Amino acid sequence: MSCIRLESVHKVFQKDQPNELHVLRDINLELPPNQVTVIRGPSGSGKTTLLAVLGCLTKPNSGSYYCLGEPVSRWPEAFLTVFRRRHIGLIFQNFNLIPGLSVAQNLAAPLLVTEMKHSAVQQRVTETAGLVQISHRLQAPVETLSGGEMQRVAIGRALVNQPQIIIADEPTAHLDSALAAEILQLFALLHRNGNSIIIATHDPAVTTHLPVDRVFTMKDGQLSRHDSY
Amino acid sequence: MILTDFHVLIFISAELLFGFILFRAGIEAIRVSRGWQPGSSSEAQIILERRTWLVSAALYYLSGFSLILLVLFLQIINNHLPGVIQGAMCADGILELNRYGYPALLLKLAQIPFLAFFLLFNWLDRREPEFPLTPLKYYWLAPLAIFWLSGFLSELIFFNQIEPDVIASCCSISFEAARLPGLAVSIETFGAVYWRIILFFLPGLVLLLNHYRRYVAAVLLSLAWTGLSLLTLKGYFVKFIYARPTHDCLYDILWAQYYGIGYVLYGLLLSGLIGQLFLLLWPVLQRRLKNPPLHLEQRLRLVVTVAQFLYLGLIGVYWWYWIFFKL
Amino acid sequence: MSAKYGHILDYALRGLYRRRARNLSLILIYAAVTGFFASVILFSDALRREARETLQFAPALTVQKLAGGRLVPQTTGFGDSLSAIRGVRAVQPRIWGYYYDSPTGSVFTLMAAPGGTSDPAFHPDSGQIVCGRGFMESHFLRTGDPLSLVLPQGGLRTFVISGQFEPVTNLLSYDLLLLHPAEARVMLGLAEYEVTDFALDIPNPAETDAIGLKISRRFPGYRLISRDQVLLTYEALFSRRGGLVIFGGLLSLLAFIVLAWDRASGLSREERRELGILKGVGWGSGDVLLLKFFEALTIAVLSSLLGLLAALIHVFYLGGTLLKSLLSGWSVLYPDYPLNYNPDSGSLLLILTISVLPYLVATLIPAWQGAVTDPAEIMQAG
Repeated sequence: MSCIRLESVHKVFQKDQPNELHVLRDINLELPPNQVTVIRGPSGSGKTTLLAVLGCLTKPNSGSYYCLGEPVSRWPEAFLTVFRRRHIGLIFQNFNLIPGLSVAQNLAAPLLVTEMKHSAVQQRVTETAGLVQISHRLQAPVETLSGGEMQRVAIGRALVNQPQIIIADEPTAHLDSALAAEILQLFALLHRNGNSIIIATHDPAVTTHLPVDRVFTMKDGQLSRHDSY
Repeated sequence: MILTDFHVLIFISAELLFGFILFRAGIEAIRVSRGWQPGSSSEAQIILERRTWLVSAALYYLSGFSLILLVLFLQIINNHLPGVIQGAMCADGILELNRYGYPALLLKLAQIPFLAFFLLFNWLDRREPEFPLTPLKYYWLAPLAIFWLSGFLSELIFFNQIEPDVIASCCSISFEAARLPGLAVSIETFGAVYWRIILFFLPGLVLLLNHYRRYVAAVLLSLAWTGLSLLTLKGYFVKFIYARPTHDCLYDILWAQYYGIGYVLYGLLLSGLIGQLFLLLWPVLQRRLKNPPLHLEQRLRLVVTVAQFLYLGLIGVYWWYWIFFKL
Repeated sequence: MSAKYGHILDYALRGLYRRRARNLSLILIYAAVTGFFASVILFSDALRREARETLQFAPALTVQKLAGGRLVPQTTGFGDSLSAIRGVRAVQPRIWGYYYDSPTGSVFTLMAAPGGTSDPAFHPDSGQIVCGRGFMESHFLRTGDPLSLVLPQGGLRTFVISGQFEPVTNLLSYDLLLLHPAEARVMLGLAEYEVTDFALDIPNPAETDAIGLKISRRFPGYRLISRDQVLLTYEALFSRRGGLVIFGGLLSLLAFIVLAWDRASGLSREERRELGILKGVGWGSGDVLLLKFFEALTIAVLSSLLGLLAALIHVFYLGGTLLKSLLSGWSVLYPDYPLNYNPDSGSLLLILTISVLPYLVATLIPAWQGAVTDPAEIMQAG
């Protein structure tokens, strides 16, 4: 069974208006589970929108999306949200941590809308913090963290629900090369643990730290496959 | 007296708030019903999906508000106005002041089942990605709106026609106005033994009918039983709550000095009835659902039976307490 | 309770605490509005009850003569015709009227001491006067002081103050002046055989209506006032005054709702961003709505309870100082007028309803707008 299958997916912004914008054009994509997939492409090429579709944040205007065998593109938003919460971890380009909250509270945010007991939430947060090596700053407000630490918290928050699929948008964009390497090694670890990983990035360093299975390039809303980076 | 009595004034303002939310929710519901395209992923459909959240939230609010407004209305006609209107002892006298009193109360009560139906439909609807009960569930808003509006108008006329006015009341003419009569119909017969026996056996029959899914008969029997409950309550059982053989008011049991037991008793009667009515709808509803909740039907039956027997148990406790310990 | 609800409630409370500077000012304004509103309700309810208790001692039936719609004096002889009616135990002629006091610009009630009471303090002899506390205080008088009143035909008449009604007596004695009957007649311009009206003592209250009917048939042109009806008059009067202030209160509440709407709909940038992130990390629209509902409910209930507490202190501990001049009295009510009253649950429910519900309604649509934030926004924001 494929982990992700897109069939002639289109995404249009401002549909039927003069400034109509075709962001995704006829995307077909099939990814087996437990692979590392890299999507490249200049900014404005539709990478981020593709990730939003894959991450169940938005729905395509036409075409079908099957995620883990489920016809998610036919579902309403409310069901997408629940699906995303259970199966997909998203790491955003600009961390998107909630200011004013501590590291632990940020990590716990996705768990608050589940039926997990308070103690179970705390335990999961502690485990996840250990995994992304941020245990020493659990009570610190997130504003006081360095860029690398922020990215660890963001990754931890994506992992806290124990998703099968991890989607990351430019995870190394704001980091220097040493920090980027650390973060990419973390992705390698997740891959070894059995997660499917999809990364959108310009950073050529991904190939040196990650066993990339597939590379795609986005251009003008269309996707083409490469055999190597 | 709407403008002069601020208890009434505030109540009317709160009713207007209720109407405002209902109106807003109604507009959204109409928009959704018109443009709804199940399974579509068009931008318009996504916007409509988001609008459904406003309707749901609004109706949760309305459900809470309707209970608060009901208590407030009872409080005004049962506690506040009897202190203002000379001669009225409780809500009965107040409601009989003019012919809009009882309609106002009944129309208020009638809104509650529709709100309950909407909430249940909404819950069932949201369990499945196809939203199988949209826009069907929104049709409940139509009777709700009608009942609210007619209830609100009745309240306005009812309160407006009560005139404890300075000039009128100081005039000898008002002496001609008769004192308020109690409930004209004598219902002493409902104190009779055989009515009590029927009262205690009918819920068993309802249980049986529900078990064999004879819901139409069960609804009719439950309606009859609820009516009989009220009549025997007035004719017999309420005397034991007051511990006074001559007192047969159905409203005084809402007072704090009787621990507001009336709210519990009437609440049980109403929830039993709502559960039973929903059971009637259930077989039709079930066909529209792909994945109906497993135990809903059993639970609804349980609600009906528990509500009915709990009611009997409560009045029974008052009754037997007197029979065994005091007489 | 579901664990999820607990988590969301916890998150809502922490969020309110995090933005405490902003929320505190909101709660204070909100509580002040509720406090004003609740003061009016509690104060006029208390006055109303006071009047009701006072009038328990009023005569069952009062007979007055009207000419051209105005009250005119009657002869004492008419009292005999009234006492002949079966069911009437006693007929008490009464002499009373109003006295306009130019220094204070107020109208006081002037009355002849009724027969029948035994307390000598309320039986001023010729040349003596017993005053209500309100009159005494507004004129800085004490018992034993001389007091000059203006006669209807001009000129002054001087009395010695022989006593004072205590504030506990009641609402009505506050502005009362009590004189010897003969002198009261002079002050009111009545002839020796004239009285203002008659008070009837009817031992069986159930007969009041029948007797009233009998009198009005036998003596047309007379006005009959029963205790119940006087009570109604006071009720209406209090309610009307209360109603006027309530209108003011409603307007201020409305203004507050607009303010709340404005604040809540203008979700701050940080709040909007936070909701966007929560939706991005897996919160549904329903979860955000619940969060916003908990926030609104906390603010509304907290502020309303604070306002209610302030109103209870204001009305029953401080005597409703700030409201007196607005609400009460035929002339003026005085600051230390004591109010003994335990507010009933109906009034409290009423106050909480009108205070909490509007805020919930005002925040519903902004909350929804926040709740349906497009979760994909989180990918775009830089």
